[in-house]
Amino acid sequence: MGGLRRVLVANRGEIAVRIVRACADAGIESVVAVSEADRASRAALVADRAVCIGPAPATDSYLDVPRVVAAALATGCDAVHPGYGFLAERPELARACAEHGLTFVGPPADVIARGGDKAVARELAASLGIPVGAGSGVLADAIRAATVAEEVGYPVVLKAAAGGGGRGMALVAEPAALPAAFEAASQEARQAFGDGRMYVERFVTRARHVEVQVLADAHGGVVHLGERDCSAQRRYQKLVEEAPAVHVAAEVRRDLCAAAVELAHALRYVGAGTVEFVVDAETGAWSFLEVNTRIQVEHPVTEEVTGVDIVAAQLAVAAGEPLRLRQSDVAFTGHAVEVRINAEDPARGFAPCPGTVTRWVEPVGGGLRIDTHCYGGYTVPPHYDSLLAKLIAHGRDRDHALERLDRGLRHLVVEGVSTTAPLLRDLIRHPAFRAGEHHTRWVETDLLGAS
Amino acid sequence: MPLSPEDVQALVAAFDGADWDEMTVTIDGTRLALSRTGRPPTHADGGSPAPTSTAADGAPGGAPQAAAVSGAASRAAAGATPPPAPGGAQGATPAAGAAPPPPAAAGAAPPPTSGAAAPAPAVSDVAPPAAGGGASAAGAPPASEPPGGHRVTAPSVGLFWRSPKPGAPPFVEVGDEVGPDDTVCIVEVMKLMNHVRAGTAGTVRAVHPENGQMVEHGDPLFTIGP
Repeated sequence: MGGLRRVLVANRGEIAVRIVRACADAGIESVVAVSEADRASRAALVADRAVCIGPAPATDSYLDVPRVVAAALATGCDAVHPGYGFLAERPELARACAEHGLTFVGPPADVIARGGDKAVARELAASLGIPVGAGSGVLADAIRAATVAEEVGYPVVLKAAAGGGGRGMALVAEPAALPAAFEAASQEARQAFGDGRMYVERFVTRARHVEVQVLADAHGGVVHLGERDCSAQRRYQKLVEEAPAVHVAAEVRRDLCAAAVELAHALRYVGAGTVEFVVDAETGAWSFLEVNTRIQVEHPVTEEVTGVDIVAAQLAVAAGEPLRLRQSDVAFTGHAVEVRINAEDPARGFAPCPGTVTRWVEPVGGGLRIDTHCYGGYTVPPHYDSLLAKLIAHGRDRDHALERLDRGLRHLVVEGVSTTAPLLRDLIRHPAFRAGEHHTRWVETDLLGAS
Repeated sequence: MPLSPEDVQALVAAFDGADWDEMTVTIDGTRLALSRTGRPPTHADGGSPAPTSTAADGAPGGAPQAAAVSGAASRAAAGATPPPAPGGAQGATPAAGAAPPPPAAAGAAPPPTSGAAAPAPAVSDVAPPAAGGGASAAGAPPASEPPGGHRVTAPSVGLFWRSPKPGAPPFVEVGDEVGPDDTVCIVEVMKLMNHVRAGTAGTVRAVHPENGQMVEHGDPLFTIGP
């Protein structure tokens, strides 16, 4: 298979801009598929071409497989990059691309289906001897869930097999609360994902979210690019991500990376993927959480510390090329931290703030990188998520990176819409965060709970 | 023989190179309607507008060239389009195959039950502003509206959805009795689903926006009378 010539970018926002950049650097033409609401987007401006695929609601544009495939064929593209979200982890798009002779920049449809099913992935991990945490496979009903919960001990967390982003999840502290929580979470999952299957895990009170970036080619080659710590979250949404996970013991990090590579081999993974783990901050015990079969929002921190362009690697691997680097070639330099700047008002319960950005001045230089689709005069549409920009700082160590990030947040000027930038600045300056004492519920219980 | 992908590509390229705003081609009963404006070509026959240059509504797993078949954009014509049913973010999808969700009946298209991109939607309850709070933004009330009714207004800019999910019946219909804490609609903004409550007990007298319509903060959504 030869190299890719022209790629349809089936996404929007900052990741569409990021993919256009990677294409341009690789000498590949890019066509951005936009909805009517995104005609004036930065991605549409910088791509070689933009093609409108439908009205603003995502169902009629970014989530419509036939429209995306038709747009790729009609514009002479030979590949489709799905970005993250939207159709990125829908096996249907990968399948439709294969059926129409288009290269899908991601794993094959069956790998997406197996990796994306949390219960299936959990069973595969367990079969490889990877710790999956006390809990169960898919449960028939609340009665079975209660039995398992008694075995592993309360508190437990109920999770939807098809879940994600905190939907279809419930924390249950005591047996009496389980039946209602089971039904509610299963119902939520059925509505959101069309799949109400549930399983149970023991709940880790002070958990760190650590994930490993893997890259795999179609010839069986797999490398990892180290881990990221994404423990600063609000309602299961990541706010800050960093690499490496310096607050997790080195031998644990080594084990996580080895487990991720093993799992990628077993899945016959192709492309960029992430294997997520939960690490008990108190005991260091760890277990497998799930596999994400796409580029992650937080991929830049890994790029900064490894020097590897992950999106470029995705494009190369999708074209059938073998990985250019062996594990021994992967070296880590310094520390990188990313914050997600959202159009939300923390003072009003994180209410989304669509509208026109009247002024947008980006911080520049000195170890900073900003991935964004925003510009002065840009109107943030109300139809999509609230991510405006990712600000990434790279420094010789964590403190150095955080100082640079602090300066970047101070120098970012946004007018017209409220953003989470001031809150993020408070977060990264907080002594507990500086000391690495935070965990996945720390933002809610301490940072926001105290104010 | 229907249009092949190469035919479609050639036609789109021709359209791209021309200075036309729209183009409609019918070959053996297959109609391709292209438009630069994002709106359906005004002269498209059959009255079923194609939303955009590459609108497609192919059969499950079917050839996308079916995209160009006449009637392709029937969903866009339905006025209120169905929002995403399955989760996009890290979600799986309910239906196998590449079939788009079925067209919703006009006027009853429900809201997304989940969002699409990385940050997943949260669900929150927002109490509607006090009665009359949005009257100024609303302009004159409809003639049919009884005087002195309680106005339920939009808590924020967003998309107005009358039912909890695709295919579900609306929360309320005109003539329904409601209590103060009953959810009457969802206003979706940036994937956050704001459940709007009636705020008063009474009978639904009027529903102001169309389902799926964009509303501004303070716009009247419902009138609830005695």
